[in-house]
Amino acid sequence: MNAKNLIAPVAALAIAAAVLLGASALLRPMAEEREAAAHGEIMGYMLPTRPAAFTEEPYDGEDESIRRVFKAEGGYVVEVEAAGYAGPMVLWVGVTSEGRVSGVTVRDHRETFGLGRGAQTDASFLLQFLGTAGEAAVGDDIDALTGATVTSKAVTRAVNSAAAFVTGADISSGATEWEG
Amino acid sequence: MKANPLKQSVLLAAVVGLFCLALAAAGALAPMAVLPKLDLPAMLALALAALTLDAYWSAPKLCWSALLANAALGGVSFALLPWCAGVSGGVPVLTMGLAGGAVFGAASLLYTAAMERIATGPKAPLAPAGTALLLFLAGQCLSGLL
Repeated sequence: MNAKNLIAPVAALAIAAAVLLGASALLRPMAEEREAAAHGEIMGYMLPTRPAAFTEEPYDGEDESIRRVFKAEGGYVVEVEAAGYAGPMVLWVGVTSEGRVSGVTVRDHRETFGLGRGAQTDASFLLQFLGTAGEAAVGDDIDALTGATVTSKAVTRAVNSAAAFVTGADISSGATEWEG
Repeated sequence: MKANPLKQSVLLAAVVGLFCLALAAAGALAPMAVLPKLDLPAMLALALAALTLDAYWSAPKLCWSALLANAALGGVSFALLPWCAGVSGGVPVLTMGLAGGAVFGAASLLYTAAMERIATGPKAPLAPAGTALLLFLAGQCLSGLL
């Protein structure tokens, strides 16, 4: 192996880097514009009142799993982070002003393909949380995803944390020590 | 290029570049979609894809100097290309490079060692892809433990 062998891989890297830099510069403005629109649209589906406008409220509570809080007419959308099996999971949880969960969506995760990834796509699993008010528990009123108990419990803690933020309830949850 | 012992690095740059381009495009067209992360299993999948392409090109042979050079260049690919595409997810470039180099080096060693012991050629056209699939499943389990 000699130095000449380096020419091809270095050239390939340089070409790929140049193409990606150009593509990124072109795509970034489009991504920002579309993200802002999609952000509001998805949040609107999280509450039964289908609000069009949300305002981000500062959160200074003690529950470290709560990252952001958005208020709208009829309730809140709470962004919660929970420790999943393969890394942190980020969820948006819609909670009505009465403290009932009205929507759950997984926004980010690193769960295992074929197992914990079902938390994002398994509607029957996510639907179980609707109507709960911070008391959901795997094995009690929530059936865990097959082969993904850790992920299921993480989602449950996140949903309970979000509901507890609205109700002010003190729940026994590994995800929150918040005492309202 | 057929005789270039660093051909795997060229293929890896192409595979990682295409993956990053796809992520950047998907992020722009569907910004609220949950896209795959460039984490250890994804790095392993990309490394094995490049190694599989290389195996269909020419039979892999273990050469330590080439393996180390490919691992170093693989680290550069995993550090530089996601950063250029803006899809590194906030992970420091150095971390991506070290992890990527380690993953590509380990994958290359294991894949080549396995392929040297498996009958390949026209009678076993699925052997390179099958070996990669098994290594990916094993690596995914291991990364779950990590």
